[in-house]
Amino acid sequence: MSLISINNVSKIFDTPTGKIKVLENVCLEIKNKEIIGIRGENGIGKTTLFNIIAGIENSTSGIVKIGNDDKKIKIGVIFQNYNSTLLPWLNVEKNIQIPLTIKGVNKNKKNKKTNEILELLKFDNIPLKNFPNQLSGGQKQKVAIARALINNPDILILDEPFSNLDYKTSLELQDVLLNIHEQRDIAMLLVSHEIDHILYLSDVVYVLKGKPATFSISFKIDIARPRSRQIVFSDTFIELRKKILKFEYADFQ
Amino acid sequence: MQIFSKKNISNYSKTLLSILVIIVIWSGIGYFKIVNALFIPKIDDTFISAKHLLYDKTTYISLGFTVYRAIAGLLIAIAFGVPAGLIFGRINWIYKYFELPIEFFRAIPSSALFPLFILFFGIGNASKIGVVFYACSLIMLVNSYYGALPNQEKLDRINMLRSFGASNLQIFTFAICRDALPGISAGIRVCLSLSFVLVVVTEMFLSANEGIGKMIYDYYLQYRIPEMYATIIILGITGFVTNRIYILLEKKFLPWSKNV
Repeated sequence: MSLISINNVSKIFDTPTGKIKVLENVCLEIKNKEIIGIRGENGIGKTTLFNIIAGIENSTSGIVKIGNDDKKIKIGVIFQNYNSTLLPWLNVEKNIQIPLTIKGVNKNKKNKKTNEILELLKFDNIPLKNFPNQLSGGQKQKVAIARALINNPDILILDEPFSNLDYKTSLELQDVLLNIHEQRDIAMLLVSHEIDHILYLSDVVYVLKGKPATFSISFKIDIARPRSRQIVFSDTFIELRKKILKFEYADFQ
Repeated sequence: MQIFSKKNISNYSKTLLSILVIIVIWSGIGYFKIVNALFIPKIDDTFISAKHLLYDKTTYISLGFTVYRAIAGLLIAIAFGVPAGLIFGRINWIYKYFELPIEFFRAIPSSALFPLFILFFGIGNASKIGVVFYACSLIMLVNSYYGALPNQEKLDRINMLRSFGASNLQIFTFAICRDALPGISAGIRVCLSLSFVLVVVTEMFLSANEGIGKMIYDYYLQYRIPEMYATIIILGITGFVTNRIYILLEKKFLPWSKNV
């Protein structure tokens, strides 16, 4: 079943120096349980596309279809700037509960759901009564993940989720995401410029390229699940890595 | 928070020491007659006057009037300035219409408008409250305006809420108002001091029948200098305590504000 489909989406920004077309005829389909990776250099328009899918920005033209006629789907969003998206005046527990608070869910149900999600994610070491400024970067990102998942979303969309984390924490969180995917059969859209992370997690990798940017090619990641960290040393992984980089570096030769 | 922690004891001793130094200097001035007692009275005369004033219910009535005028003016200023500032901060085109009059009125010292307030509101409470309202509402408006102006961090929070399906009203109450609170609170602190200053001045010169400002001015006219000094000290302590209470409230209710 298709969760999100994007057809011929373009985005033009009005700037003081004139109109800038960032995206052109972008097409993408995300199916149930699928992990899609989007790669592209900095400033290419990945976050713009992310914002369009997250409902934060409108496309200039094209069709963005979230869910289908039979079912409305729920989206969990994890932003690149996890630090500023945590509300500093709420403690960790209340930050995690934000999607439920918006929906007007009562306190008992909110607490129950919070415990459930923290148990699922094995985030029992997060101090719930602390404020965001008292947490480490990794802990903050864990809070953002828990917040995105508390509403049982059908799809999780993530914008550069590892870019502000140290290497070890980023590996730890990638495994957390894989576990969620296995346990909940949740689809994911991962926007990242880090090739190893995106290959490790994704089923298909799309590369955003050109000015204005579009998807000219996609790479199917034929690596069986469940995946372990060892796959990064496999021939398939290394070969796919080479192929993607070759495609991206073609312009520089 | 430990009241008698090592750090706090050190701070208390520094405060006590500074008070002691002032008392010693003041006593020395009186004892050695360095300055005419008409300008700086003896410290013991001042303390005796302060004791009499503290036993006199008129002092409390006057203080009550002063505090009432200051707080009433401030609360009305908050009730007007904060919503207006928040709206201007979020809907910039509305602010553009009001920018010129706001800047114009900010440039006029409230003391210049004393006669106008008497003309409009008479010599009762209303004119004094009006002066405080005038000065403080502009400060509250501008502080709330800047608190509500969007920056990248605030936009990230708004986008996060929007992505979870928050309505515009929820975004306004969950994020925009809260984000503006540190600025609003800073404005209240400034206005708290300013409101006392303005009320005391208006009580001195706007024909008040009661109030601490009126007391100070009356003692001055009667050359009762120790009483005048004692009243000033009582006023100073009141202002200091009010400010401290506000800081405590700010720490209790906005502990996160320094991290925004």
